Amino acid sequence: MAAENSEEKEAAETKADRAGEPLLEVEGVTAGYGDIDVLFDASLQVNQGEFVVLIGPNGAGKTTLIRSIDGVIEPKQGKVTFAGEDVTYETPADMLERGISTVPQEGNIFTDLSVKDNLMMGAYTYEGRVEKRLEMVYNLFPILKERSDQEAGTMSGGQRQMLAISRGTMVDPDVLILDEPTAGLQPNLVTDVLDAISRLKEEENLTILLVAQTEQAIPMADWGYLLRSGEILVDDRAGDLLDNDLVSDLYFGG
Amino acid sequence: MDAYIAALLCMGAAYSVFTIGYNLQWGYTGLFNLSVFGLAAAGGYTSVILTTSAAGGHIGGFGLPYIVGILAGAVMAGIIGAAIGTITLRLEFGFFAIATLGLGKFLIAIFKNEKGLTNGVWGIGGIPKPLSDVAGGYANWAYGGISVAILIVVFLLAQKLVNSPWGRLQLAIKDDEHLTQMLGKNVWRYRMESLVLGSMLMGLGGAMYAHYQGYINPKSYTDIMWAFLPLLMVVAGGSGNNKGSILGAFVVWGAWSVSEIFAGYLPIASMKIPHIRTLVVGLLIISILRWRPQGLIGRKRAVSSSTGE
Amino acid sequence: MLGSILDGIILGCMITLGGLGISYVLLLQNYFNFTGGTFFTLGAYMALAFLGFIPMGSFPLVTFGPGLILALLLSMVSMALIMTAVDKLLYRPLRERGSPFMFFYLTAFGMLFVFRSIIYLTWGAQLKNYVSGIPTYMRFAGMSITWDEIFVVIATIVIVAILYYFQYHTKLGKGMLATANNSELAEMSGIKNRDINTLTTIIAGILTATGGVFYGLTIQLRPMMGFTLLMAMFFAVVTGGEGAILGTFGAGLIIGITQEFGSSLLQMLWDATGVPIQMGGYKATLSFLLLVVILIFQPEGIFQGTPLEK
Repeated sequence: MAAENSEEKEAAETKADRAGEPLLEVEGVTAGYGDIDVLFDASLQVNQGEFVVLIGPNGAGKTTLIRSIDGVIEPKQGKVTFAGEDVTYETPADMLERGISTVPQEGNIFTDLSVKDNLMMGAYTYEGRVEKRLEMVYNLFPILKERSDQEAGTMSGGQRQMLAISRGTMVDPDVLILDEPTAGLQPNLVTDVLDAISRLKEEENLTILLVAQTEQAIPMADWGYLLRSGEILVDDRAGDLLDNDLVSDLYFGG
Repeated sequence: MDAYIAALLCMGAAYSVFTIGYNLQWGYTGLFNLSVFGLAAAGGYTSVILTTSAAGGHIGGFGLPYIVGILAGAVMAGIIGAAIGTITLRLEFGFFAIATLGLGKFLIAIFKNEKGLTNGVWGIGGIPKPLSDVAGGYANWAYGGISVAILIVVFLLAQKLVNSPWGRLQLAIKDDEHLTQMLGKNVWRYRMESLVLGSMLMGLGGAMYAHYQGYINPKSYTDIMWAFLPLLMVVAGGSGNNKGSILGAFVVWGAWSVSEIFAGYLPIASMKIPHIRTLVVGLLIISILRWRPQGLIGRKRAVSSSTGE
Repeated sequence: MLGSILDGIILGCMITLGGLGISYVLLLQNYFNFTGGTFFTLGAYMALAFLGFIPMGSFPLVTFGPGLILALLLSMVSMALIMTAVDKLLYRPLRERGSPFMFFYLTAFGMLFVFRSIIYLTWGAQLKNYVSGIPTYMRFAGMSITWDEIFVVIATIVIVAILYYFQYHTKLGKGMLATANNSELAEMSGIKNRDINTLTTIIAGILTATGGVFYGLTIQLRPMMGFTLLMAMFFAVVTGGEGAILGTFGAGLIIGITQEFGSSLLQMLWDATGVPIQMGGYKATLSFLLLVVILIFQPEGIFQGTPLEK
């Protein structure tokens, strides 16, 4: 009894230490496809200015959770709130208007368009000077400038991810949600992409929710969640995540 | 009134057989085959050529009995259906539709042009109606009885077919092609089988119709009467359902022929009436699709759980 | 013979315009709009209806006057409205329900007959013209052409050029391309699918109306005019490459020339080989057969990798 109490107390204290105001809140979301549910009563929170990481094995429901947040699919139960307003049933375009940009895991570039056009489409609703955004992106990923006229579908995996991330940031969002931007990449590219995301966060003053399987993402983050079989099992400071048995099982076998 | 009911039996049965075939391809296998009017014509002409006498420079005079005629018509339609399938079956859905539409028109063009075969636009008359010499004034009733008998046989066979593993597989293929390809079944082959069987039934229906009418020409098998109206029959009755096809066929044909009678009483120029009827049919099809896609007695669409998109 | 080629080019222009209307719907809404042929016809007849209220006036050289241009513009607006309304009322619920493709085709098929009947009921079956009287033919090198026909060809080229520029060099045009490529990502980028769909049907309406009016001008107004060209339009769309503006134009010209010219060419071939087939009756089905051939062997069009692939 006493031991449980102190664990709960510790968890509560950790949460109280969590910096920033809640910005994006997901509460008790249950979602799925047809009759099959994939996500069960999942809750997470992203605070202003935070870098939150969502980890979990294949098929855990991470993409489903992202799609529920962004409005690609509708949750069967639960609520999504942004800056205090209920955005559960808003479309991706609506979310973008609020400043939330999502980079999906698949189908994240316009394969028929050129690199430059992809970026221009990213900035479709941007009201400032697009050239400045382009400059920012080209600084971050010089290869995109080199290949700006190339058809996006012909690029390599790593380049596509860079383009996908860039497309998502052209509109100068406040919150950037990235679904497994490093999936399937060579380890050195994984590091490059993660570094770029880190720089992006600093330079653009972003709040980030990153879905990743790689443990390299964890040290970059402030807070982390573990999703497994549709349930949030761990909710902790990123620095403490790797100490957690469930998390280390995921990475180091068990 | 009697005459009307007798006619309804003959035409309704012919259309029912046709619609069961149509529905096999569309409701069970998910193929939107627009060559069907050509297949009905093929069935009709084959049967007619085999059972009528040669005249006016076209072949004939085989003097074969009705049963042989209509079965030959079915077989011929099946063969043509197979040919059409070999050419078009691997095309994507929309492409398949327009390719079959083109081929259907091509078939009718053949019937129109090859006078030596079909007497072209002048058509072939004197088509024998079985039992007509015996039944005298009740010829249509007699034929109605024969037609319904054929329909019953066809219906029983069709029910056996769709309730068999083959039938269930067709539904699975229609609802989720990825699933069935993963299961390793040869999807192309099953579609082809459905195509051929459906075509045979459509040829049979076309032949039954010809023997009722007594005279046919290429205009007897227009796209309106043998692709569009049956579409309403299938949709109204409920697709993926043999009973629905029969119900749809009788109801729609009944309404169609009744409207012809009533239209005669309305103060509308006779030129306009066919168009009003087409208009109503079109509106009905669209309304059913929009508000009651399962038709009168169709099954609710099963949602495939793998389609999350 | 050269005269047939010229006639083919003129016919090809009209096929192109109708085809582009179908191509837009195919590219962005994923089905072959069978009703396109009927809307083509309706566009022509709507202009005729408007001419009932507008004085024709006259222009030099051509048979028509500013009245026809105004009627054309009004017809463009009408057809854009009609096609958009039909889309919102009938097709959008199907899209939102995730209905199978079949339903789209069935609806298009149903609409085809609905509008065809409306045309017959409103205007009757007789042939009509925008202007009475015969245009002056100019003859040269054994061919003849009218100023109306020259107008149609030039106007088509201009329209195609404008459309091309819009599609590939404006933000909105590229937004349409992006939506066609990946509609979910487009929505995520703030390009609203609904708005793009509306734009699609507006453009399709404008192009279809124009094609119809041009046909009515240079040939005649018949209730079945659009439907007989439907196969040729499908050919232009498929052979030109789905959504390819220049390609559709090229393929449209090819099929136009083939229709005017091809059956006599084929006849020569058949006669040469001694096969006793009379091509006369098959003239209309030629497009159908060519379309089937293209669908089987080269469904992505013949212009891939050439400047005409756009």
